[in-house]
Amino acid sequence: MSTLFVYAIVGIGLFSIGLYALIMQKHLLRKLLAINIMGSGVFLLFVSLSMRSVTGVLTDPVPSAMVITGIVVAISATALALGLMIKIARKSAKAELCNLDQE
Amino acid sequence: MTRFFVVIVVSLLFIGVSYAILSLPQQAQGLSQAVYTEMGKSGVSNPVTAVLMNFRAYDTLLEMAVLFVALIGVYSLSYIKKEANLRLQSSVLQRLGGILVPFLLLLSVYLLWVGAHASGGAFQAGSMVSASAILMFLSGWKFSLFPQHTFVRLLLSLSLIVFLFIAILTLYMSKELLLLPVKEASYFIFILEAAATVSIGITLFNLFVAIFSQQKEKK
Amino acid sequence: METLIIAELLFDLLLSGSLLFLAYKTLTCKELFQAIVFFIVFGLLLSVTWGRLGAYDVAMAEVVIGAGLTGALLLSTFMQLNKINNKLDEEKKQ
Repeated sequence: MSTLFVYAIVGIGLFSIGLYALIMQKHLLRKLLAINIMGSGVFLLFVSLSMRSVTGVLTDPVPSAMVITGIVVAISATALALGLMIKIARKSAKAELCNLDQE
Repeated sequence: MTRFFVVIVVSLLFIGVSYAILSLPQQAQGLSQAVYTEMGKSGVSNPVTAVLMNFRAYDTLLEMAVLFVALIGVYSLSYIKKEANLRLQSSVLQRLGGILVPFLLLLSVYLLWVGAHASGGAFQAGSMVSASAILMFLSGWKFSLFPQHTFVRLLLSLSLIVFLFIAILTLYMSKELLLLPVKEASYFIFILEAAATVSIGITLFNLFVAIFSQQKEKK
Repeated sequence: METLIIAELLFDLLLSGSLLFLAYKTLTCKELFQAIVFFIVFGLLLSVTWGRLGAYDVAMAEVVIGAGLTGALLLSTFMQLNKINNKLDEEKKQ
C-alpha cells in the first residue's frame, strides 16, 4: 500500500521541479520540457491514487483511460507549441520570450 | 532574489500538496466497481477500451477534435515545401527501416485487434502507425501522406467524421448521445477504433513532418 | 516473503529516485541536446513506472508517444533551431 504513496509523492515532486524550471528557465524549449514533466507528474499522481481501490487483480480503468487521452493531447499541444517556438525563433533570432525591461 | 522566492513558494506547494495526499484514506472505492458491473453491456472485455470507446466516448470524440485542431494550427503556422526533401542520408537507417516497418505495421494491426480483450487499442496502434510512417519518411521512401491531397485530408478527419456520424446515429437509435446499443456495441467499437487508429497515425505523422521540414517563408 | 517486500521497496525507491533525478537533469543541465536526451530517458522510465503501477495500456501509449514521438519532435525542433542559428551567424559575417 505504501508504495503507491511513494509514487504519489514522486508525482508531486515532478510537478514542483517542473514548476520551478518553468518560472526560472529562459529558453522556451526548456519551458516546454518543464510543462511536459509537470504533466507527467500529474498523470503519475492521478494513476497512483486510483490504485488505492485495487481489490485483487482488478485495477481502476477510468484513470488509465483518461491518462491515455491526456498523453495524446499533451503531444499534440507540444507539437503546436514547438511550431510556435520555431516561429518566434525565426522572427526574434532567439528562442526566448523577450523581457519588456530590456527592450 | 527571485530564485530564493520561487524556491520557497515551490517547496511550500510541495509540502502542502504532499500533506493533503498523505492524509487521504488508505482505501477508496474509485470507479472500478461501477465499470466492472457494466462491463457486460460494453461489447468488449478490456475495461480500458470499454471506458475509452463506450462509457466515456464523448471524451474521445473531443480528443479527436483536439488532435485535428492541433494539426490545423501547426500547418497554419508553417510554410512547408510540397516535396519535403529533407531526408536523412544513411544506409543503416534505410536497411533497418526496410526490415522494421512491416513488423511495426503488423504490430499496430495486432494492437488494434487485441484492444478488445487485452492491453492495447486505438491509441497505441495509431501511435505505432505514425512511428512506422516517420521511420519510412526519414529513410527516404517515396510516399505521400501529406494534407495537400484530398484523400489524405479525408483520412485525417476520418475519425471525427465517424465519431460524429455514430453520435448522431445513437442519438436517433437510443435517444442519447454515444450510448451504444448493447447488442451491436462490439461492431461499433471496432469501427470507431479502426477510424481512430488511422486518423491518430496520420495526424501524429503530419505533426512531425510539419515541425521537421518547416521552411522560411518566401517573400 | 520478507525479502521480496524489501526488494520491491528497493525497486520503487530506485525507480522514483531516478525519475526525480532525470527530471532535475532535464531541466537544469547546460546543453539543450543533453536535456532532450534526458527527457527521452525520462519517458522510458515513466513507462516502466506505469507497468509497475499495473496500468499496462498507459505504459504502451507512453513508450511510443512519450518517449518515441515526443523525442522525434524535440530533436527535429533542435535541428531547426540550429539551422536558424547558423543562418544568423552567416548573415552576421556578411
